[in-house]
Amino acid sequence: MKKDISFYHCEELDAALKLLAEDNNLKPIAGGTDLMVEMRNDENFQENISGLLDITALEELQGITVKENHINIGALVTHQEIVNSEVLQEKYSALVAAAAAIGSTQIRNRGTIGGNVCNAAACADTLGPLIAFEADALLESYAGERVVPAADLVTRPYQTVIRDDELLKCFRLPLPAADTFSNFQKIGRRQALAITRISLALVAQIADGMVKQVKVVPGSTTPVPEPFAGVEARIRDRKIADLKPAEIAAAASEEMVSITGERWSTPYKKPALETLVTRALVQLKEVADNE
Amino acid sequence: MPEKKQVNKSKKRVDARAKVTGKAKFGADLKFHNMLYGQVVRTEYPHAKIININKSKAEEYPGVEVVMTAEDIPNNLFGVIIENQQVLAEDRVLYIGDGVAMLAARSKKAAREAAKLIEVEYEELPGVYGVEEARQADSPVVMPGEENNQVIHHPLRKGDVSEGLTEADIVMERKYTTQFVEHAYIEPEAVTVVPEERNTLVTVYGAVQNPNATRDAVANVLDCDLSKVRIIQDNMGGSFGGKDENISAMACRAAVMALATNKPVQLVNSREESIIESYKRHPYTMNYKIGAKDDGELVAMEIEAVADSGAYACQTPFVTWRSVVQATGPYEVPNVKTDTYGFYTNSPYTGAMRGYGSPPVIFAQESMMDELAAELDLTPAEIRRKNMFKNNSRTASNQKLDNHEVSLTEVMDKALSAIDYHDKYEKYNQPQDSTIKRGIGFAISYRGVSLGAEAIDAAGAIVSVQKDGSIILYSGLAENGQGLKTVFSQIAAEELGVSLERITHMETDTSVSPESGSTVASRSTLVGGSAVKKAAENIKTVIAEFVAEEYDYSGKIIYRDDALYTKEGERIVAFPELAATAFHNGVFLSSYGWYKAPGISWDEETGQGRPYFTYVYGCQAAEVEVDTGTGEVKVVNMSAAHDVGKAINPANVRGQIYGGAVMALGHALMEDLGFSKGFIKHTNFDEYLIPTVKDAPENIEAIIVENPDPAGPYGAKSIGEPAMELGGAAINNAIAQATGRRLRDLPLNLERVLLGRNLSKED
Repeated sequence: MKKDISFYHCEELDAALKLLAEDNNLKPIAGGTDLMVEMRNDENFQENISGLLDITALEELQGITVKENHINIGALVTHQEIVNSEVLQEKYSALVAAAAAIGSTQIRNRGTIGGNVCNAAACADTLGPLIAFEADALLESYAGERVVPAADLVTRPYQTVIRDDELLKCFRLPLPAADTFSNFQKIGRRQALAITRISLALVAQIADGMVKQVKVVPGSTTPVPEPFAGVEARIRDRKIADLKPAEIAAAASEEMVSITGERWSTPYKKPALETLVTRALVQLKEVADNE
Repeated sequence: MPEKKQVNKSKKRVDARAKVTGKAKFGADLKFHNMLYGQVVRTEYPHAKIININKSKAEEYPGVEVVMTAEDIPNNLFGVIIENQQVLAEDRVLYIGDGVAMLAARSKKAAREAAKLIEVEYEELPGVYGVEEARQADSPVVMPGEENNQVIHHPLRKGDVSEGLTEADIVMERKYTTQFVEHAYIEPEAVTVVPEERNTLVTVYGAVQNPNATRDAVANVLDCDLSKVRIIQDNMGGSFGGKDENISAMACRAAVMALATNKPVQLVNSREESIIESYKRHPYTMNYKIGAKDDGELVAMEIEAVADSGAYACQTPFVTWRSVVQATGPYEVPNVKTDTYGFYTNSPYTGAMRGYGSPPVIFAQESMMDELAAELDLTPAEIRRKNMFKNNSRTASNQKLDNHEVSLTEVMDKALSAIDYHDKYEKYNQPQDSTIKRGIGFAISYRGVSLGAEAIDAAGAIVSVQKDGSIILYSGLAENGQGLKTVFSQIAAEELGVSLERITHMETDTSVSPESGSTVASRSTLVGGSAVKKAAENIKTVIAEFVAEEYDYSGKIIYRDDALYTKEGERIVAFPELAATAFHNGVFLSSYGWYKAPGISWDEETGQGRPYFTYVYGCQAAEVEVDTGTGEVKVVNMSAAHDVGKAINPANVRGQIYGGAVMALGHALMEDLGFSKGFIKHTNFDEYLIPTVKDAPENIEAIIVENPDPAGPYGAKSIGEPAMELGGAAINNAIAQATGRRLRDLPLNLERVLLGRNLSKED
């Protein structure tokens, strides 16, 4: 028989962190769109935890706030709030596109960016754009706060560096430079409620017809979304007019195979990833041409 | 003809209010005093010997009232056609959904937990997966007592196919395959069995598609009289042909446990249980050889279509029979040799699903017509017009189509013009710059209406006028969500000239409703609707006699606006007053109506005869956008023209067309159970993908074509299945135009569309 577990609801961050410090077997729950499914599917889920901690009332984890040099996105911000945010639409369109592509209306209304990242599925759509925008994760525990780059947050599928006594408070995204191009694409097996087959987040800072800085983060291609350094090197500090999308795309698929090896899905993922990389770069060139 | 007031009108569904307000009760909503909750323990292997079952721990679990295995079941085998489906597996499990034990407990939780304590010892056996293996001479035999794995073989021979192929200028041979498909009704199976209720041995409530088939199964398993088993249907959250044998198995299990405990027992499947246990659409492997003249004239077709029957015979003999009749499509072919087969395997058993034996063969044959056209440098429209049936054409079975309008030209013209097919076809044949390419394709079909030579084809209804003029209607055919109650109520209302509100259409109840066969084969409107009409006509005969006596009028009575009128338009009496007066004069205003379909014939050896008494015709076209860089397909527009004879409820007909088109889209593009050696990996809707509203085409132009049929009520025929059998071929043809590459295997997923082949973890 399934073990009974406790359900805690905290109104204040301190109280929540204190609970987490005292009981290292509590599982935070926010939107529950992943967790509830896992609880139903995993016979032993309740065996392995002492209780659930409802964090939805914690103010410090809520809202999108614009600071002088960065923007904070609270862990409890829902995908729909991201989609609706004018400031995010203006400055982080790839993140907005990723949030808009998640699940369904119902999932986007409940699911949070914090949950999407903390669940740490290889197909989590928002992590790629967060890495590409060089976001930091602010983790808080009763003992104090620490900052971890989004790129270092997930160590392997369904595993993060977040300790049992910590909560993800928010993501801190540096304000992008004025001429920043960003692109997010996703392939699924249907138009909604589809687990991502492949996604791509590409963020490039443009100046004087050159790419000054670039991040290329494919999703669902590697165990954990990670920047493709080899591809980035072929784009960074180059003249945009000289970029050859097809060649760079081919390098991206090679880089994917160098990380994962040849798998059953590789014959599909190689050309499909090449398509996404090519399209992102063609769009980058068009945008640069128009400026 | 006076204008119709009730039929041929888009009346609101009579069950809509209850359903949208949540008042409608479904199988799992029912509660009875002292009710127990059942749980079935299913096999861990697709094919294994059961060595031992230890139920003692489960029996001791608090709240458990009974734990049972096959040996506790009076008669363990049932089946609509061949009785070889096990209620619970006896000594061998044949597929991954077979139950091996069951129990009933006082709470759901206790039932679930106790089920885990049943210890089953298996000896895993090598399984047979796929028909290629099943038909090998040295294949292990799946079904105990059989000599090989063949369930059925239907031959059809017309003319001389070898000679025909010799005469051909071109001979093409192609192989097509289709996949297992889940019905994906939104409501998982649910039944409740109440023992010794109101003079019966057992009463079964639940999501029962075919109450009489379930009654047969339960009476057979309990070894009791049919009159002692009463099936009362609840509202259905979808069926699509899928709540027949699986529901019967559940009803049998619950009935055995209810009698053992003398308490009501409820069995409700979770989605995972439903997908693992329920029967699927047959996957087909089809080889088509077509011979044609240079001008496109078909001279010969040689077809072999092999269906995977899975672990049980279930509906395979009839499903493959429909395939043999329709395999050549709606074309005149002088020389035909068709063989359809079903084979047992250790995969899930396969049975009825919307379309029955036609969607796979239509997918193959309508894809092939496009391939042939391309080879002969003809357009898809040209090759079809050249060969398709007209009035008085002869089918592959040599049936002369002379008793109804053969409307292929009309449905094709209307569907193609609605989607602007010809211009788009020319346009998309030109080189397209973008990697996202468009294509357009279509398919046509003819479909035999109702059961054909499968079984006796008759149905009944009771129309009962109460003394206040309200009317109770019982039908032997069942409302499965398709709109039957509305259509039947409209027919009764039309005949008696009353408003729809006067009519209460009761649930099908096997102890009251006349046994009418199964609610299948898109037969309800024609066969059941005719029975309702007949019952109303019988009552009108009685009324006419009574009116002559009581109101001194013996001319033709006009029934309209809840009153009776003379043919001159003079009002005789209001309907409620007539009902009251008749009652007080001892006149009986209730009647059974019975309708028996026109005669048919079939020669089992040659496949020649009159397999169906009439046919419907349809054409569906699809316009797609294919991302040739990712393999994604979006169906942007569809059009569908169907000759339904006469639409009793046009809104409902359009609803059937929209639903059918989207269902076909799912089968064509995405549905996949994730099979791995008899195991099903995709057991819920996060992995077993069906179309969402965003996958539906932006526009589906539904066109109702009406050529009244002499056999149908007001000329009505069918729409439920015709609406879903064409879409797959139309979409495949559109993708072929967009990509320039012909695919022959379903589903047309990302990998197939991008690479031309499927990828799987297994390879």
